[in-house]
Order: sequence, then structure tokens, then C-alpha cells
Amino acid sequence: MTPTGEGSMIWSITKKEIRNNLLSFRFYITFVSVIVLFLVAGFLFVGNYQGELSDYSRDRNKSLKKYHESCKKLADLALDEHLFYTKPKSISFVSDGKQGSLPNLFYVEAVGRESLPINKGRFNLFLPDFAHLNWLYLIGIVLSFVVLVISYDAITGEKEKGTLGLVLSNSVNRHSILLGKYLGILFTVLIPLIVGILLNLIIVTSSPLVSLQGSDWVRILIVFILSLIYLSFFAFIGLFISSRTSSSVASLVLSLLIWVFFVVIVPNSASIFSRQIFQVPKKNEVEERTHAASWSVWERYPPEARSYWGDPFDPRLKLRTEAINESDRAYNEVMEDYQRRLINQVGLAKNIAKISPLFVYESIAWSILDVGFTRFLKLVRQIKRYEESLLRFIKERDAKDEKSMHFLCDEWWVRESFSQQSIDPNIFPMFEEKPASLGDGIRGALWDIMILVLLNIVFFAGAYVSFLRYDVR
Amino acid sequence: MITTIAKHEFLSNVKTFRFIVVFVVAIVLIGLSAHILTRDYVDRLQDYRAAVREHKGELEKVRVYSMLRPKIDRPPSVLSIFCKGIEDRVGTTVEISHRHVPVELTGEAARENPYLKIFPSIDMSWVIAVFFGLLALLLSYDSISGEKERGTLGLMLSNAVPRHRVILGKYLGGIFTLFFALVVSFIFGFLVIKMHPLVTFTKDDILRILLILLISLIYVSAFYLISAFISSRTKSSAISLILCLFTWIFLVIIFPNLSMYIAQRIRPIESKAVVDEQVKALEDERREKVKEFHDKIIPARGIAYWGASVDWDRGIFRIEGATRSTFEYHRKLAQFEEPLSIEYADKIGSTYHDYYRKLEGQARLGEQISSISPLSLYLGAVSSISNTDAKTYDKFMKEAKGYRRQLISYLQTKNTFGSYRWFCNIGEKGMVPDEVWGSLTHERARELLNKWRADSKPLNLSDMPRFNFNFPSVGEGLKTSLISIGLLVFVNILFFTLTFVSFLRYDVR
Repeated sequence: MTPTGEGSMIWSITKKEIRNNLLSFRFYITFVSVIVLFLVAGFLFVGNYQGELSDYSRDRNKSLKKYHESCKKLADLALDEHLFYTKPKSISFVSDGKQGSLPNLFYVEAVGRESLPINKGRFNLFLPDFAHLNWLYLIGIVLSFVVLVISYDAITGEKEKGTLGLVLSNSVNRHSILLGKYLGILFTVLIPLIVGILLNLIIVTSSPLVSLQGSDWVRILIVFILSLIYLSFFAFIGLFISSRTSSSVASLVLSLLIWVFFVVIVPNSASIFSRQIFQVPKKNEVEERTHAASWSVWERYPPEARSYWGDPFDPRLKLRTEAINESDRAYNEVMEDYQRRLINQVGLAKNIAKISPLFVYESIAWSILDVGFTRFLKLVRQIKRYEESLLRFIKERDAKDEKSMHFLCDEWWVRESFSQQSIDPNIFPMFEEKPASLGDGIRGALWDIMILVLLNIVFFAGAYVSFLRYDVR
Repeated sequence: MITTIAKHEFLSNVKTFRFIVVFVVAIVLIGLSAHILTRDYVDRLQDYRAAVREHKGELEKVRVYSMLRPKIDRPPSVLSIFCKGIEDRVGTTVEISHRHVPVELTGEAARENPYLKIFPSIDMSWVIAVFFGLLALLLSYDSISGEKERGTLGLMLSNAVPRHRVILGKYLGGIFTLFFALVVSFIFGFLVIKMHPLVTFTKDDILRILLILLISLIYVSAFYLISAFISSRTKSSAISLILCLFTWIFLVIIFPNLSMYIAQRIRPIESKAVVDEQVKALEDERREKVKEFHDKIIPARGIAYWGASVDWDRGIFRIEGATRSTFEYHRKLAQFEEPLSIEYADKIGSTYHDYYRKLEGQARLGEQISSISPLSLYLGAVSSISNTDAKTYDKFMKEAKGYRRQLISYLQTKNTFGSYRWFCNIGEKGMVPDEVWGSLTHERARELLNKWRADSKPLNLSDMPRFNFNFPSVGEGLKTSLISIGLLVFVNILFFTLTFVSFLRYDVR
């Protein structure tokens, strides 16, 4: 058979599969429920996003005003803590990366003790934790299930009906059948997926609050392609299991158990496994360690450093300034170490969760959409860099001021003795989040993308080999 | 006859692959979550005990009434290991003071990792809800259609076995299998918890655990009957399984999420920042009034202290030595300011109260919407029995507010606001006439101060009301969860009847 002939053979099998699937009962229930869920998700997103955005703009305006106030005196700019709120993203209807459970308020400070970012949203302590309905949630959980429901009897079903032997006796290659079936499954799932996504997009984009740029559309497209790769994995699982079992029911039970393992068990138990393997210190232990660290600094300084003589311009305060700065540094080191441990614990949980392709898929999407934990880590890094450059800027400006005592540390008298000059907020603006470029997003997710593709290949090979050796009787 | 069928069902169920797989997974997750949550509980228990000790010690050192601000602690519930509810979200400690209505607890779980919240954290009740629901479903999806496919259903019925006996036997066999699995899991979980020496269960706790076991059984039975019904309405067991699993995904995974999301949309709450602003306005108003009064009574020579610790914002004044006019000034100030503060605290308290009402309203709406899902009903009921629900928290907060009232009337009956004892416990001895003040030498001042300090004794607080919190009794917990349990029972009856009717008319061919 010529390659084109083979191609048309695969295509005609695909067409037949799609036609069969579309007429089946299971297709109707999945179609209707997927469409309804995408519609509901769209409506709910628009309403909640409105609230988040109005909170954000109020908080943002307030902290900007405060920043401008601080800029009137260099000393205040150095000593005040500037509040940075993360902006809720329009694109979070695709995936919000569980933004709601991550900190959204960061403290930006040039000197002094660092405070860890906190979550200050419309948090309701009486409401159980819940995930937002978005594309990733629906594709990850509902559509992956749909794929298995469509594919479980692809091979066993034909065998049970006795049609498999018939087809194969007609000199059709086994791999054409497998590929035809695979494409048939994928195209069948694509129908509710595309309709659902389009309806969701119509609802979401018709809201005046949602603004999507060109690059956002590219990101959405990439996530869509990624979703196909993810769903294709489940199609291969279904085919693989179907070609390893002899009855459709056995195939269905097995595929669904595997689905439960990947979609329910692994993501939900990642956190307890991680907490079992990697413990973070207790909060009061951390507090004790910070005290000990800053205290050991003070002990190295002469008693003179501990006194304040009532005059902010006293030159003896140089020693005190050094001691305070050094003890704050020691304090910050402990806190940074603590924060690193917290992040490592999450990192471990993420790696455990990556046993499941669902989480691999989610973390690629977070990286590409620049949301969730990836965005959080990026912000932590960016703010650290910003704080360093802010401190440099303040010191440079202060060095030029002859009236200043040039002592900079986190104590109230510095506000009087440090430079009193005013700064134009446009010269050194308040911290702004730099969005991660698409390239960065892809680069960050490269490994995970490879894992997802590899999983596809492995299960494709598995399904292929099993099907070649399948006993059609 | 029923027992024969039930026994047969039980034996064939236990041996199936799907039963073993799901059961083993459930056991592993129960063991792990019980271990981790026991560790959390022990951390919280130790923190609680340390805090109670510390706060008792602090109270013994109080020397003046303005500093009388007892701190109270919320005890952790041992059953939070089974169902953590809102336990790890609501803080542990609150300061009781006439100047504030307690609205919110501070202090959080010791080993809490705020970033780990991007992953759901599970407890035993969740594992049971999810996996035993699945198990029930896997056992019953082919209970009828499967027998039909194998042809055994027709055979059995041809042997003059009445249909209702078949269905009852099958149901009992399935339920017994699930009960067996539940009991094994509970015992296993219990053993894991008991490995920790610090955890003790009272008789009351054991009763609660047994109740949870019973509710679990009702819940699991609901799922069994839902899928038996689906099985009795379908011809092939594959279709039956697909429908059952679809139902499961909706009821267990999607719907509990969706309903909270809907509640958030329908009844949005304002940001806490808005409430904080209103509160700040009230506080500023109070401060303004106090300032006005202060300007009226400030002595001509100003105020002068010797040894004093003063926190104007929190209203804490401890004065060891000062001029007579300063003493008089503070006495008058307290007489004016403290009743005013109580009044404003009540106003602020009611502002916060409204806000928290709204939060509760949103949560209640979410709960009502989600009551379509047996999972939500089950988890709601179990958290009430485990004392980790919003109601238990509410009870604590109400009692904390009541304790503040008691404290205020204690302070009022002792007439502390209008006396020197509010800020000084050595009475008139601490006073220095205004004329003498300027002429005191440094040495003489130090001598006086030391004498005053020696005279100063901690307050005798033996007659002060004490705070004591008792968890809601089992009866109260049951009362709270009555509707949830009732609905679960209703689901059972409904689907049992439906299955029964469908099976009587089922075409066995």
C-alpha cells in the first residue's frame, strides 16, 4: 500500500470513529456537561474578577499615594515600607495558578528587617478551600475523564462486536487502525472542548474589564496546544489499556482507576507527603533564632552602641548604626533561610505532584501564563533586586547632601539626621512587576514539556506494541 | 435467603481487584494523613499549654488595673485529626480588654507553610468521603446490570427467589463490605494516632468517633444506593459505570468547588480593608474626644512622672511616682476615657460583627448550594461532631465576648476607673507635692523610687472572673449537624425506593 493510500486509510478510520462517537450516548452527556461547565465558569469569572480588580485598584492607589508622600523626604523613602499588591490578571480565566491562596501583598523596604509577603484578599475563613473553575481545571479533570470514557473500548469493543477481525482481514495495517482510532478520539474530544472554550471566551472578552494583549492570545494558544498534548496522553492510556485487556468493562475500570490515581490521589496527597519528608521549623523556633542571631551581633559591640544620647546628629551614632544594620542583616539571614525552607517544601510537593501528568500540565501552563507560584517566585526575586537598587539610589543621593549625617539604619532618629531632600518619584518610581516574557515562560517549562511529550511517546509505544500483538479473537 | 445472598455478595466483593486497589489506597492515605495531622495536633496542643501557662504567669504579675488584660486561648480539638475543618485557619489567642471587643484570634498553626496552600491538604474525613464514595460506587455499579450480563440474574430469579429479597440481600452484602472496610480503616487510623503518647481520648471523644463512623456509613450507603439505582436503570454495566463515575466526579470533585465559587459570586464580601477604614474613623473620633478632654484638664505645670510605663494608644498606665496634679489628671482622664472607650469598643465591635456575619452568610450560602453533594453534607456533619466547624468557633468567640462583659463589670464594681488604683497600686504614697518636685535631688528621687517599688505588690485577683471554655457537647454537635445527617438519610431512602421500584420492573433478559 502506498503512503498516500495509508494516509487515506487512517483518515477514513478516523472519520468513521468520529461518526460513531458522535452518535453515542456518552458523547451527549459529556458534550452537554462540558459546555455547561465552560459557560458557568465564564460567568463566575467575570463577576469575581470585577471584585478583585476594584480591591486592587483601591489598594494600589493608596500605596502609590503613600509612596509619593515618602518621596518628599529621602529619609522617609529609606525608612518607610512600601506596599506592593499583585495585580489580578485578566488571563486567569485560563488558569489563576491558585493565586487566591498565595500572598498578594509584598513589603518593599530599603533598610531594616524584612517582612514576609502575606495574603490580604477577600479571604473568608469560614469558607472551605476550593479551586476556581477555569480552563485548566475543566480540561485537567473533566476532559481527561471524557477522553478515557471515549477511548476505553476502542479496541476491546471492536473485538467484542467481532468487527476487529473483520477489519484486519481486509489487509488494513494494524498501525493504521491504531492511529485512526487515536485521531478519532482526539477529534471527538476537540468538539466539546472548542465549543466550550469559544463560548467561555465570548463571555469573558465581552466584559469591559478584561483586556487581552496580543501576547496573551499567543499564550492562550500555547496552553490550548498543551491541553491537546495532555489529553492525547490520556487517549494513549485508554488505547494502551484497551489493547492489554480482553473485556471492555475491565478496560474501563482499569483506566478509571488510573485516572483517579493521577487526577485525584497524587495532587491531593502531594502536600502530606512533602510535609512528611521535609519539615519546616516551627514559627516560635524561627523567632528564637532571629533573636539569638541579632543578639549575638549586639554582644560583639561595645555598650556605647546600645545607647542613644537624645541627639540624632550625634556623631557617636555611627557605631550604633553599624550595629543595627548588622543585627538586621543577621535577622534577615535567618528569615531568608526560613523562607527558603518554606519554598523548598513547596518545591518538593511540586515534584511529588509531578508524578501526575495533570500537575505537569498545570505547572507548564502556570509558567507560560506567568501566574501562580512561578509568578510568586519571580516577584520575590524582582523585589529583592529592586530593594537593592533602591538602597543604592538612596545612598547615592544622600552622599551628595551635606546636611545629612549619612547614618542609615532602621530607627526613628534617622528620619531627622538623614537627608531631608525631596525626590521626584518619576526618577525612582515605585516597584512595578515586570511580566515574564513568553520566552522565559517556555524556557522555565521546558523540562515539564519534555516530560509530557515523553509520556505520550511511551504510552504510544506501549499501545502500539500491545496492539500489534493483540489477539483479535 | 437474604443472608445467603448478602454473604455471597460480601465474599465476591472483597476478592475483586477494584475493591483491593481502592481500599489499599485509602488505608495508605488515612495512615499518612492521620500521622501528619496528629503531629499538627500535638504541636498545637503543646503551644496551647505553653500559652496558657504563660498567660497565667502574666496575670500574676499585673500591678495596676489598667494593665488587666487577660489573654485567653482556644484549646485544640483532638478530633481535628479526623476532620480539621476551620481549625488551622482561625488562630488561637485573643486579649480580653474593656477597650476591644474580641473579634478575631491571633496566632497561627506553628508549622503552617502559607505557600503550601496551593496544594489541597487532606484529612481522614476527606479520604473517607472521596475513596469510600468511590468504593461504594465500584461495588454497586454492576450489582444489577453485571448479573444480567453474566446471565446469573435470570437464573437466580427463576429459582423462586422474590425480587425484593435479591435486592435487599445485595444491598446488605454491599453495605457490610463497606462497613468492614470502614471499621478496618478507623481502627488503623486510631492506632496510628495512638502511637503518639501525647494524644489522649476521653470517653466523650470515643463516642464522637463512633458517631463519625456511623455518619460515614450513612454517607457511603448513599453512594452505594445512587449507583445501584443507576445500575438498575441501565442495560450494560459499562454505561452504568460511566454514569456512576460521572455522578461521582460531579458530586465529589466539581460540585463542592463550584458551589463555593458560586457563593462568592452571588454574595460577595467586601475587602477587610474597607472595614478597617471604618474602624479607624471611629478610633480617630474617640481619640479626638479624649484629646479635647485632656486639653481641659491638663495641669498648669504639665505632667511629670518618676517611674512610669505608659502606652497612650493601648491605654496602659503604670505610674510609680508623680506629682499630685499628675495623679489627679490621670484619675480624671481614666474616669472620662475608659467608659468612653468601652462605648467605642462596642461600636467597633458591632462593625466587625456585621463583617463577620457577612462572611458567615457567604459560607452558609456555599454550604446550602453544596448540599446537593453528599460529600459536603458528610464533611459538614463530621466537622460539627469533631468540634472543628464554624459553630464551635462562634461559640468560643461569643463566650470571649461574654467574658469581656464580666471583666468590665468586675472593673466597674471595684470602681477602678475613677480611682488611683487604675494606674498606681501604692495609692497616695506615690504622690509628691507639686512644689517639692523641682527641688528633689537625684539621689533622693532614686531612694523614693526604690521604696515605692518595694511597696508595690501584684493585684489580688482571686475574685476576678476566670475564662473557661467547654467544647459543645455531643448533643449540641448532633443538633448542628441534624439537617445534614437528615438529608443524607433522605438520600438513602429516596434512592433505596427508586432502586427497589426499578428493580421490580427490571428486564432480566
